[in-house]
Amino acid sequence: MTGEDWQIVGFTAGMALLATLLVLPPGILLAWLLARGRWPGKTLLETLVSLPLVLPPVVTGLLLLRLLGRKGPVGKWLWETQEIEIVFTWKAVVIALAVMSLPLLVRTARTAFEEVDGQLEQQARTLGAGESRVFFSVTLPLARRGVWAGVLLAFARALGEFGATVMIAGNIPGETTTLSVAIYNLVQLGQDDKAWTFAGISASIAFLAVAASERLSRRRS
Amino acid sequence: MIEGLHAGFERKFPGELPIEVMFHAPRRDAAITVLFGPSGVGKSTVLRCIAGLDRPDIGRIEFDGTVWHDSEEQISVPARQRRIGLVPQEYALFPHLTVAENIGFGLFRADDAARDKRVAELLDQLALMGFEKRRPAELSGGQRQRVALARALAPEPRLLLLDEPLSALDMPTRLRLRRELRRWIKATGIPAIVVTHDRQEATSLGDELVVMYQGRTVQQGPVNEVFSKPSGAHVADVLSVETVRPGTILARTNGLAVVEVDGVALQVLTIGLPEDTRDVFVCIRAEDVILESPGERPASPRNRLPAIVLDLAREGPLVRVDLDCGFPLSSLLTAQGCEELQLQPGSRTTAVIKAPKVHLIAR
Repeated sequence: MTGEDWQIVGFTAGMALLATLLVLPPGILLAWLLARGRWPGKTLLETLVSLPLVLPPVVTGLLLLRLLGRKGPVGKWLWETQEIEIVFTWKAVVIALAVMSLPLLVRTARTAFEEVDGQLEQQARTLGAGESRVFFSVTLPLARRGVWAGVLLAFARALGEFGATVMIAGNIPGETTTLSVAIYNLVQLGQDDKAWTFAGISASIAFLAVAASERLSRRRS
Repeated sequence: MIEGLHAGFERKFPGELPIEVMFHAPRRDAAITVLFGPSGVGKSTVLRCIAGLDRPDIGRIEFDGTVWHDSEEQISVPARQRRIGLVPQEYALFPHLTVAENIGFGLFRADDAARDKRVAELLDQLALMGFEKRRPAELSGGQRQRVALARALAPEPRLLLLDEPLSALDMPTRLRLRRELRRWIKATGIPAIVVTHDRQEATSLGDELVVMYQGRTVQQGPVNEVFSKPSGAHVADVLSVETVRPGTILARTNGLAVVEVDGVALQVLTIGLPEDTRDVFVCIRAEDVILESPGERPASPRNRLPAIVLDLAREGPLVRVDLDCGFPLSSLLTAQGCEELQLQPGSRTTAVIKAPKVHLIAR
């Protein structure tokens, strides 16, 4: 392992962490909304959130490219007003990882929120608590294991993302190349030994994250 | 201002009997109003509507002049603004919080010092000292109930709501807590509404009784008045007792006692009654009152009370005989038995009640 190799591992872990942090607030909000009652547009939102799970990642990447490219509606606005370039930078990596890991966080956290006894939330209301206090003092603490499990799964998913990342962030060594993309490069170049080392690192982190997630969602306090 | 709680509303669920209630829970002397009726008549729903956790379809709920719900004016004050203290059936303690944190939950607007002081006060009042660091899962049923009560009391609510407060407890604890619960509630000076399907709980806890039958409130009044004067056959059926009178224990030996009711001495059993009980409700079901001709000789040591027939009412194959034997007493006998005794209003008879059939409830 050279310094360059460690840079790739560190960069990938950092991007995955950033992506996880980025999806945390909207992911928890979405999970909570989807766990509550019925409201118009719920099924549509549910489907949209879960879509990246089943859509080919390259397709998701292509859609993001369209959206965030300089000619795309969001990308154009960002470039013209803020002079921010997304595509083919580290920002694109974070966005690709975030979009791909969001469904795992939302689905896991949603189940956890649904399991919270509604009577406890109502009890909190009778004790004068407003909706935000109910959420932060009762709902979230009671669902914390499931939410953590979802965060770990999302992180693990982000670490291994390939298709969407390549589409929107490309493969610029030292700038946008992640672990998975590097493995692809190495195999293309016939450097199988190094590819296996990277694969081992990738698999170990994923294994630990999923194992921890399983433990959290199974054991109930 | 009209004091206390006034509720008159309707709540419907598809495929179920509609719930229609009209009652008043007084506030004076921190009255305890018991909402009584068999299981499944919608008592808990009524409590949830009062708490603001459910909404009546039509009607109005008002407390001390403040409208909590009015379907016509589209007013519905949210639960958190009603300042009620709710103790639900299974207590709903927050499992992730300690006893002290549970009790202090409603005190989030107070500063730390004031909250700690109030929590300590309640821990002391409800004999929970030493348990403040425990989690609900580490408590007994009786302790959980006290924590739930303390948590409800902490923010000084205007009205306490208790849903089947004793039903989650085992039998011995229930008997013990029946008396203590009333003392605790009374000590707070806060009016309370208690939901129960247990007749003994209703009589030992309540001042005012509201009877519910098939989703409707059918009678309201002071506890012993409702029990001794059910307004209709439904109510009597729900109450399943015809005679309830206040009495005083004069003497007790070996599980037997003499109770004085309106100047008449009755022999009774005192199994299960606390040692220091003096004031009781004496409950006698009409089926347990046998009538004899005045001249017959006593066959066994029974309560034999000379009585005058006040009224006769036919109920299917049976006849209900209202008597005056120093206190009002009802007897239920077959039409044939009634004819043999040649009973009619004004005639003299002897009412016989076996000692084990006289039921005592501490008051």
